[in-house]
Amino acid sequence: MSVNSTSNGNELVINIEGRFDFSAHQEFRDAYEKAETNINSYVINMAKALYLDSSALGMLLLLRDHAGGDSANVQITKCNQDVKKILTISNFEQLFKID
Amino acid sequence: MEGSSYTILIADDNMSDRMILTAIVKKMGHTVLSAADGLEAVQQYTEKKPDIILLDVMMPNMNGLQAAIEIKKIAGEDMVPIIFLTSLQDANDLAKCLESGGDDFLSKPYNPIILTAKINAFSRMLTMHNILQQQKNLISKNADHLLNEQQVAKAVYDNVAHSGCLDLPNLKFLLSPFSVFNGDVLLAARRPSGSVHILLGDFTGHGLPAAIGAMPLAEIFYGMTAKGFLMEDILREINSKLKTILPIGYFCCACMATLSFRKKNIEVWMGGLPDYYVLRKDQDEVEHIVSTHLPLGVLSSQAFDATTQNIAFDVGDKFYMWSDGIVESRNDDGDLFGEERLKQIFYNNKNRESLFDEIVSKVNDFTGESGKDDDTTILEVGMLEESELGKVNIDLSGGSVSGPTDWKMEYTLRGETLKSFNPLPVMLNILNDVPSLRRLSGQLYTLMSELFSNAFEHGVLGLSSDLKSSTDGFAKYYQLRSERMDNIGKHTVCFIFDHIPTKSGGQLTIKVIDTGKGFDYKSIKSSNFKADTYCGRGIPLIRSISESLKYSGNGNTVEVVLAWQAEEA
Amino acid sequence: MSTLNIAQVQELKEIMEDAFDDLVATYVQDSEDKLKLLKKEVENADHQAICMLAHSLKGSSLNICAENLALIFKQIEDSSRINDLSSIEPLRLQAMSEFDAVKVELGSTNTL
Repeated sequence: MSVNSTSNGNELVINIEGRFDFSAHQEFRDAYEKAETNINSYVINMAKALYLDSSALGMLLLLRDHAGGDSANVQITKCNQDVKKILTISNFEQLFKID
Repeated sequence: MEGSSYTILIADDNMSDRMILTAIVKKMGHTVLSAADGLEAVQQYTEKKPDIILLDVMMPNMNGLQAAIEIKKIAGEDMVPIIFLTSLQDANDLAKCLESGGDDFLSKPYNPIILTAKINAFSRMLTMHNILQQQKNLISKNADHLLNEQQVAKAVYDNVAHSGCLDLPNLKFLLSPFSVFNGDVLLAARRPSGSVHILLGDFTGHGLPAAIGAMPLAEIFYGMTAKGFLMEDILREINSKLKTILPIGYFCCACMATLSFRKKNIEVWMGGLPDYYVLRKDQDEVEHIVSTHLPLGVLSSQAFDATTQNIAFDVGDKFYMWSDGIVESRNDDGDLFGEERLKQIFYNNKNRESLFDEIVSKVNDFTGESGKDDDTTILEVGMLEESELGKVNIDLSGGSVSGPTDWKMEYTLRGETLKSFNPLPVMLNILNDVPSLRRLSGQLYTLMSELFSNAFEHGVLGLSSDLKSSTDGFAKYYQLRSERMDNIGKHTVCFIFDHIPTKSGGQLTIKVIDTGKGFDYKSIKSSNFKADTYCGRGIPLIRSISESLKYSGNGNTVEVVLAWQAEEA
Repeated sequence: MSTLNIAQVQELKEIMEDAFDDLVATYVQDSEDKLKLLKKEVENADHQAICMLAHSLKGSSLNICAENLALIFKQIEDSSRINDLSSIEPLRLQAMSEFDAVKVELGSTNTL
């Protein structure tokens, strides 16, 4: 399971690979906390993510809070079926843009 | 470390050999103990516990090999390196030495450089071993502490998390005794009206963090259910509480259901849990109940949505609730149980009565010894005829509601306070103490807001809302308002609340009296009550909320009556 | 082959420092006792006892840097192991005379 990120302009893209679970906690946090301060848009790229558990949902909430809470601009993209299912059950599309 | 001084035992039956070794070892700065045979060597070890042992193989009374075995036995978990002193050259013989507990060899003639190097190497190992031992002991102590704390947490949790009326005849459930460690909560309680509230919760996190959320959740659930609060209010309260106390990223996936025996339906709110199934008495196809909300503890109170789904539910139908532990459980190969397997159990089932047990045993078979029951929380809900359930045991006087139902209160604002203080929140708070008025909270606020505005602006200040119909008028209105507020003098506005219980629920009378000049209400026929007359635009609104509205006095007194029904079971 | 490995004796002297003389005295006394015992055990034809004595003497001779002597004791040890008692007595006599030479050499090391 690995996390890496790239930024272009004001957007930070965080790529998740493998199982997104508690072991990713520190890396995920570092990815957005240590980014430049002018970031106002976040994209979580799930193309290589296999699976997400409830602690990953928690991490997404933490990111959203960091990004401004209700005014945050966080997108979760390229989700596979399993990932999408978990996000749907939790109704996270009410808080994030998901595709 | 190479700097520290160790105690080294030299066991050799040859005195000149011993002398040479002693000289070398002493030169290194270490302390020397001597033994002339195996027996003495064991004795020396037992009494003085040297750090390293130089042991001759061929000795009278007890040879080196035997002595090594004895010493290692006595040492137990302690590390004591043994260097055999030998001129043996046969590989088998040397192997035998190592098997009996030896760690290394030194051959004759004794080379001081080599012996020094070996002793230093072993002393590094000793240091490392001692550090590891210390850490191991520390970890062990901490683990004991944690275990103890967890047991206390479990005891507290057990008192809270699965009490209530889970023993009703129409409920079958399985909740792991270790649910505190996986954050699962299963609660059931009867409402004063007879219906049943059920809540299945799955907190994120394991162990103590999960248990911490469960406590207030259970308290709110039981407390409010007993008082007759509706599911939406309870959910709102729980969400609010969890949002406050849980750190961001922690939440509770939950399903709450109200089972009504009288109406023969289930009302369901689902946030974050996998699909639940409804199985009809005479159908094989399962109906899916889907999660439509975010889990509890995520949204603020304003954003929280308590909308429920209503499902008809008859005797013979079954409703299945579970945590995600079933679908998420894994076998030894790491495969997920998955929803397909779960559905299969339903399809293959021949006898409804044993379906619950079949689900439980299939999950246990799948997870094997490793995951047995650990994460499985499951509830089967059936419907009963009202007559089959006993009466709800709630100690109340005056009907099936609780909270203050028979009271009167008067609240008057005078002069300067009237000018600057908004009494609405305080008054609304008192009204909210009547459980059933709580659901009318919004309407009550609107009502009182209008009544107060009328009494203050139009009554006391004598302003007419006609002024506000033009832009110039607005400015004039507020200018006048400001002037008149400065001259408020001894004016007052008085609110009188009178609440009485009725057969079907309760009734609230709100009377508002202001010290203004009033108006000629008698001359206005209710049918052509224009929106912009004395009392402003609020009257139709007030009328729509209340049972009755009447004026008295010189028009400076208004009385509004609101009634509410205790909702049915 | 020389009786004593002189270079090694020097090293031994450095290790023992003042205790070197003590060491020599101890070695000589100990070896003489053991040699007396060896003679008796050869007469008794107790090959187990012969083996142990020879082994011990071999070891201490090595440590005192008397390589030749040590070699002789090794031969005695090996023979006693395979129960070849006939070759032991001549070896024992050899050891005795080599030991005398060693004693002399050790004595004269004081002047080195």
